[in-house]
Amino acid sequence: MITTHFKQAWQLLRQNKLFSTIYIVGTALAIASTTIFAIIYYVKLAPVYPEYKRHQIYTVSNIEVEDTDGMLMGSPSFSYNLLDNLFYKLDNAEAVSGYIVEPGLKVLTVPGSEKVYEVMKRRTDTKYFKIIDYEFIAGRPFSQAEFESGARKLVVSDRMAEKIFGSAEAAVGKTVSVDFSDYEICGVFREGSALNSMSYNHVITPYTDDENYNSSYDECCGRYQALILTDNPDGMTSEIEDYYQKYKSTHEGRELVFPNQPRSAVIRALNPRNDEDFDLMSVVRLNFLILLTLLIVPALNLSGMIAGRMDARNEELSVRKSFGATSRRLLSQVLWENMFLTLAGGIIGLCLTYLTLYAASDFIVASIGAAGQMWMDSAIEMHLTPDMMFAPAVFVGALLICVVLNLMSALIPAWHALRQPIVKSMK
Amino acid sequence: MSTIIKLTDVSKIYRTKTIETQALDSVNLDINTGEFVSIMGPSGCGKSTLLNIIGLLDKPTTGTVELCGRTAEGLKDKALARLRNETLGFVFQSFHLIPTLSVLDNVTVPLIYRPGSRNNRKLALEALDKVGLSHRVHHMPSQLSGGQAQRVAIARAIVGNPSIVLADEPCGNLDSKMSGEIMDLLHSLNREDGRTIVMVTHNEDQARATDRIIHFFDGRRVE
Repeated sequence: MITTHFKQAWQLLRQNKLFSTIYIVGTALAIASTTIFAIIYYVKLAPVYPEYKRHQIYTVSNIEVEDTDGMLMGSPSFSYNLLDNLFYKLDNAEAVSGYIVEPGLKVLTVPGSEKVYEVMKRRTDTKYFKIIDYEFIAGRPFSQAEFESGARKLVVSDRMAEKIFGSAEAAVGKTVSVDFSDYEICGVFREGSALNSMSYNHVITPYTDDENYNSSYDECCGRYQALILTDNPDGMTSEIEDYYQKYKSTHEGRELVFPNQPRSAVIRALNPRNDEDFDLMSVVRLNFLILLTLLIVPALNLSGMIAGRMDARNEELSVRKSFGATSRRLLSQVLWENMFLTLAGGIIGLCLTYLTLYAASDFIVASIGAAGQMWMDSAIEMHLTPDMMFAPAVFVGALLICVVLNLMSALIPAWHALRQPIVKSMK
Repeated sequence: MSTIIKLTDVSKIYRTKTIETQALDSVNLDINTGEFVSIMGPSGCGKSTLLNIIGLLDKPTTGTVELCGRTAEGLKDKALARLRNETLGFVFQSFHLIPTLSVLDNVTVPLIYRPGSRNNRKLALEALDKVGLSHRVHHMPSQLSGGQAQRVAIARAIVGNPSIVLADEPCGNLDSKMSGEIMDLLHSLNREDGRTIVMVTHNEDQARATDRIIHFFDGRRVE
């Protein structure tokens, strides 16, 4: 039966080329705009390489310390002391990784070569590789023993390794200089997308490579931020609050707080600046309204077109009714036929989506960058990885959008047409 | 002979905000199984309305319609559709073939709405063979002449083997030669298959060739 509907839809398409073309193009544009919107949010929120554990990851960065005299001190990062005495000791965390925030790009050179590369460097610990699931193409991450000894080991992304040495395999064991300090490459990982700020790096070194790694200008403020992997966020928060109390009682009223933290990676993506008055529901409502507008406006136009075509098809529908078709059956037929056109528009819309994402990546990055702590630097390639763009969720989402658009645009005109008396269009 | 179509005191009034038009006025009618009946009368006398009511395409304002001993009163959309599908075949003046379907697919239409129907293609080919169009099965309606289109419409009307064929001016859009062919075909369906045929016509010659003529004037039967 569905084959028959699709056959007829194909005939309709051939016989009404102008209508079909406008309908398909209109659908394609609607689906492209909604799919781009969906992909932006998919990249922000869904578990994509190498941030597969996004929904278990929490972040801690800025700290506020209030002295007894009421002086408030704030810092975008905290001290090693807190990393070691608070976060590393959390019982309710599966893994905690501290890393040193070093803004900007670093200079990488290869001994014997005059070439200079700009790289994004992360200084962290071995737990980072437990939280962020990098795929190692060659070699391995630096070990705990190497981390503890402060060995100058380094892992590099495959793109960077290929750029410098021609292949990932050729990079392992080689020495490179980063900001004039030599490191031996021990592993090559598959690079993620620059849109994922927790995991986008070119090179990763142990933060112990600097012997002053545990020093800071203040007992609480410092250079560190943390990623926490946990299944028990409430327990973790409770532990941190206990620490606040303990700290206050042992420091003569001095208070410390990590405002609105730890934050889940999802909340961090939606509220990158950690605004105090952030309201998740208002963000959800706003995005739902945007999505609805992106769907309703084309649906209204398409609905008008379908209503016009239904007038022309009244005769056919009446003939079918006179030979035994029920209104329900005909409604389903019209929806299936329309679905054929909508799916055609959907396929073109998806192609349009990928073309737009390919051609207008700057715009996309700007959309996400505003919410994702991006480093807008020319050395960073702002690409969307295949697992972001070709994720099953994106296809299922696009299909659902097709179905919704189909229902929104065809249901009312079809229902209205089918309520007309049979004899009205039969002579 | 048993009565296959029975109309009892059927009236039909079309109402708008300002005007009320009585299309049929207390019509009583019995048509027997296997009869070929013509309905005649001037334009606007209610012939087509009567045919629509017999064909369950329209509901009477008052009165009852019985087809094959089953009353149509109070039936819901699904039951009416089923009764139409099993009992009736329609032939229209303007053919009303579906332009996006091939000849074969047009003829198959009544079968796809019949629950459990099998061998649809075979039955459609047989019906097309009967009207002499088995060589045109893959043509589209736009590729047919008027006479051929009406033959396809007749094939569609009989493919589901209905007891009653309702023909609303089946030769109204055809020239005399083609009209003769279509009338021959309808007569053969009546004689050979024993189908009951109710035909609306303006043509007295065509009407005289049928078993009975029923005259209408201003929504009433006249003798």
